Amino acid sequence: MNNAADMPKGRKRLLTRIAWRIKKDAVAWLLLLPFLLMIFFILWKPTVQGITWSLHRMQGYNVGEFAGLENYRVVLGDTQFLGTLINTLEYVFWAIVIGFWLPIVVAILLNELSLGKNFFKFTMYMPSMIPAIAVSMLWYYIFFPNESGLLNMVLGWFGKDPSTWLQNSKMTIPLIIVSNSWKQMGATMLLYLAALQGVNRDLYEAALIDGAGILKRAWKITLPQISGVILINLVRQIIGVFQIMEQPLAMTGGGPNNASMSLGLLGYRYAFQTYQIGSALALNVVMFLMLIVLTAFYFVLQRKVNQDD
Amino acid sequence: MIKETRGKKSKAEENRTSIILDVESRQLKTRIIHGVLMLFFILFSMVFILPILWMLLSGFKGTQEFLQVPPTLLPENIDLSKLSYVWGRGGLGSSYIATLCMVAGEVAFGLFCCGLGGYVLSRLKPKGAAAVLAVVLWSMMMPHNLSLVPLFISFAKEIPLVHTNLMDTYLPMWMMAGSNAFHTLLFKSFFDGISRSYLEAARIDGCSELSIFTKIVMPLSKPVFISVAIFIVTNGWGAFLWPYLLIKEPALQPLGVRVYTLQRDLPVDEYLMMLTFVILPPVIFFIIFQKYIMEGVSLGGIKG
Amino acid sequence: MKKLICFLMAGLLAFTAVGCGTSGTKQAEETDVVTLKVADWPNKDTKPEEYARAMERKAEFEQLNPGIVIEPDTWSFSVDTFMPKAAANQLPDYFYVPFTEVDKIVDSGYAADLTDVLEGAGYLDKMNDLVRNQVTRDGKVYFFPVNYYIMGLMGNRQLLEEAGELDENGLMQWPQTFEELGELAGRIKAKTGKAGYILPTMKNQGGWHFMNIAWAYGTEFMAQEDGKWVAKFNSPECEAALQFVKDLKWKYNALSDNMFIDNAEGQKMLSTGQGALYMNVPNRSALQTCVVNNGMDPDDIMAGRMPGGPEGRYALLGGSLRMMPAGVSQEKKEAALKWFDFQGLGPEVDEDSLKTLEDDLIAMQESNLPIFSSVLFGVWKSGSGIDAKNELQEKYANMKPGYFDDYLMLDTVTPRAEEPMNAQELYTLLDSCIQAVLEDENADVHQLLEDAANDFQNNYLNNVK
Repeated sequence: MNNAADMPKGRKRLLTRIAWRIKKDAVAWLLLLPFLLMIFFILWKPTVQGITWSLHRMQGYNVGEFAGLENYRVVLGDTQFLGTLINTLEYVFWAIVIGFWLPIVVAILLNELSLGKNFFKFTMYMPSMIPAIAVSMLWYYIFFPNESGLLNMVLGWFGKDPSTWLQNSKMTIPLIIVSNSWKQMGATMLLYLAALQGVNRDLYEAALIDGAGILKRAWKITLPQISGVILINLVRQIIGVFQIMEQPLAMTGGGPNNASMSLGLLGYRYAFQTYQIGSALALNVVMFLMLIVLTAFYFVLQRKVNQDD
Repeated sequence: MIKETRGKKSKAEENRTSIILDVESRQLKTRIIHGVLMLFFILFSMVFILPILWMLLSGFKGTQEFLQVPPTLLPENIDLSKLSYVWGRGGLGSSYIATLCMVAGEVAFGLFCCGLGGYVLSRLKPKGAAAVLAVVLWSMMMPHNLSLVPLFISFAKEIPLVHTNLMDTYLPMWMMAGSNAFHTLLFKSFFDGISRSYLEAARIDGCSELSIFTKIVMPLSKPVFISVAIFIVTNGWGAFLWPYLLIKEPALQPLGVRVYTLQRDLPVDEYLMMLTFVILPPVIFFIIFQKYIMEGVSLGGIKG
Repeated sequence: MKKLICFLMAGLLAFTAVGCGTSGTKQAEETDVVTLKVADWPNKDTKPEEYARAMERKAEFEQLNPGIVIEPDTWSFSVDTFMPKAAANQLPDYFYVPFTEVDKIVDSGYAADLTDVLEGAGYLDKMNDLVRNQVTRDGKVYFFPVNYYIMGLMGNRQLLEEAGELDENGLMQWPQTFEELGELAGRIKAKTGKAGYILPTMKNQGGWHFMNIAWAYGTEFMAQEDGKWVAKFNSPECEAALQFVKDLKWKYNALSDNMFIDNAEGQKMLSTGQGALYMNVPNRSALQTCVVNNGMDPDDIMAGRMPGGPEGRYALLGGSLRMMPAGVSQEKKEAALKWFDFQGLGPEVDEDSLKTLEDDLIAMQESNLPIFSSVLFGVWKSGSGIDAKNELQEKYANMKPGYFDDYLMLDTVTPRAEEPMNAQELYTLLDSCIQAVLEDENADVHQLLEDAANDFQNNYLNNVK
């Protein structure tokens, strides 16, 4: 205190400013602390642990001695790995075929309506509010393999024989994707609808003067105008479906004959059913690396799209 | 972009972006197209309504009736007492309370941690804020699959000083709600839009940072608080995986877990009625908060 | 203000959450009192009568054994809670485990070595050899044996009657071979439209049931050659067994349309009349599931022997044990042995332990569960308990005459323990094979088993250290 009083005025002011600044920063950091603690404990610590532990021998939930790439050898050498990876890519493929284009088309069509738009928006969005696990269980019964399932009941009205749906290994992945898309369509469609509001009407008028028909306008103007959002959503859906786990767990348990086994579900099995914790960690690191590439791509895309706006 | 999607628009304005232009609207072709579209949407929305309706009706059928061939469309008789029977058999009372506790804590943690975080990153910007922002962005980018097992182990293991673990508590779920980087960024981008002069004026009046946040920022930011709270509630209501892994005491299990475990215990008709009980609250919630939810989705999608 | 409320609320909630977690983990560490934390205690709210009875017994025990305090714990063993509890060091001191989990538990080092306590009491030599093999690993005994049983066929009387399969006395002619079972089940489905036979296919239960069939056809699943384990089930014998499963669906048309069935679903189907026959153990817990949980009429339960095949008649051995976590003190082990004896589970009985057994039977009677007229599977070869327990059982016996006779011809069936290595993983692979033959009429049985054996060798047996 005394020292400060002896100092020249300018320096004193500087010091108080620094002190004020430090105090202000200290308060700011204090307010930030809860959030930082949470992301540290929930995100960063376990991720780093996951990578390091995957290089160790795990005994139950305890970390054993360093084992190098042994866990990776077991996982990648597991005869199920390749088939499961292919299944996972199949999930992605069907998600693109079924779940990707439909919301775009529906959003564009809905945007044309002047009557009942809000009602349809409401009904299509409703499934998005239903918990994912409930949607899976509901669709499990919709796909029930005898006449009591909703779909077979409908087939029955048209005089068709019941199908086994999910229990047919060729159909099981696309059908799981159908149930998943049913839930997500409304939300995705709303994103496209919002993007459509940003399309400049003048472009359509100019095109009309050039004699462009409705389809041509949709193809040449609408789609390019919302292509940024479309791309972002595409990558986002791929990332989401790549990690699919709860849906096959609830609907098929990975069957029939592993036809719906995904990488996520295999990791779950390792971790919580067969207690091969080391394998679970190694598999998750492998998935993590694949996902990081996709996500990086996603962020580059998003930045680009946002800049274009 | 956000601004354009928010707020009410008159009907004409709303239709401004349609591909079919007003000048064309009187043409016969356009009318046919509109008619076809209308028909298409009526049929298409059936795809979304029918499964829910079927679940609702099937719940009232008896087990034998549900499984009989050929199946019935409408239940033979509607017995309302079955509602309370299934409610009791599924233990739904305790499950509703469990779900409410879990979700309430998630909302508290989510708004508190992420709201303050967003405020500091947006307005206080202490030294090092840029680095934190980068960390937050990275947190959002990071796939979560890898953290599953280590996180589970740390919840299952005994914590040194307290001599207990976090199994059968909701704390892990709450902490996860508090670690949502996406929500923090939502808060930040909203706070970025609040005029600095308000805050400066308050600061000159001698308000502390915390009281500035509570007295000025929060009242101004109701929409973003409500949006985030809605996100948390809709995601938390049916949360399955983590509660399933951590909550093993049946009385404490939230609905998302009961949906999965009861499938093995209840006959199919009672199970479908139980599903109805689970689905109904979010649907009602949606009807009430429709406007906020739909806006929230577009907001999240574009900025996220 | 709002934020303050939020903050307080969060803090309060967090506090209560932590508080909830702590209760019950504190242990009385007084010098001469041993506290034994006993699991599988009935829940006070959902089973008040059982709880009251258990508390009464606890009080009697503590009076007889001053210095031992029983601390009740409602937790019961389940595959998905055991590991987390063990990792958190929160296992109770004495709890139930089934036979199927023995290997995993011993391998992970979570079970206490009980050899010296059991040896000291002289129980080891009185133990039935089958059971002794089950509780012993590398010469050490890790478990208190409680009971064992073998699988058989359980039938829904009502459906069997509807299908016209009961004789004039209302009794069942049980199938003696799997072919007969297939034909019978096909007839039932043709008559009633309900599944004649319930075949589980999920959660390892398909593979578990399949063992009985495969052994009957003479399958050897694995063998040790030059110190290395080799998968052997890509054999004609196993093919014949899998072919039988395939025939159940495609030749006999005896199964339900839904293929995704686990044990809980199977029991539910049997109890609610959606299926007529199911491989099951008519022991207390299975009977309880059918009657108490699923509302089956106890008079509708019938049971027969496991059918046989060309190479004999085998039935999987199951049972329940009690274990203690590694690291419990010697005093606790001795206290646990006393509690074990007090429950009437040891080879010798006295007035007190007989009373516990009688209480159990009364409880079964009150729940309307069928009670057999003798102890079916004695864990002990000798001891005063055998006759006394049989007498008691006879006193309370209430089973319908003839309904269980076929099952009770126990000496015609060879009990068989699970395969020695990675049994659960083997079941997972067999589940997949079963699903494959149920899905596709043209599935190649030979190729499926070649692949499964190869997977089993490569993914599991080669990793055995």
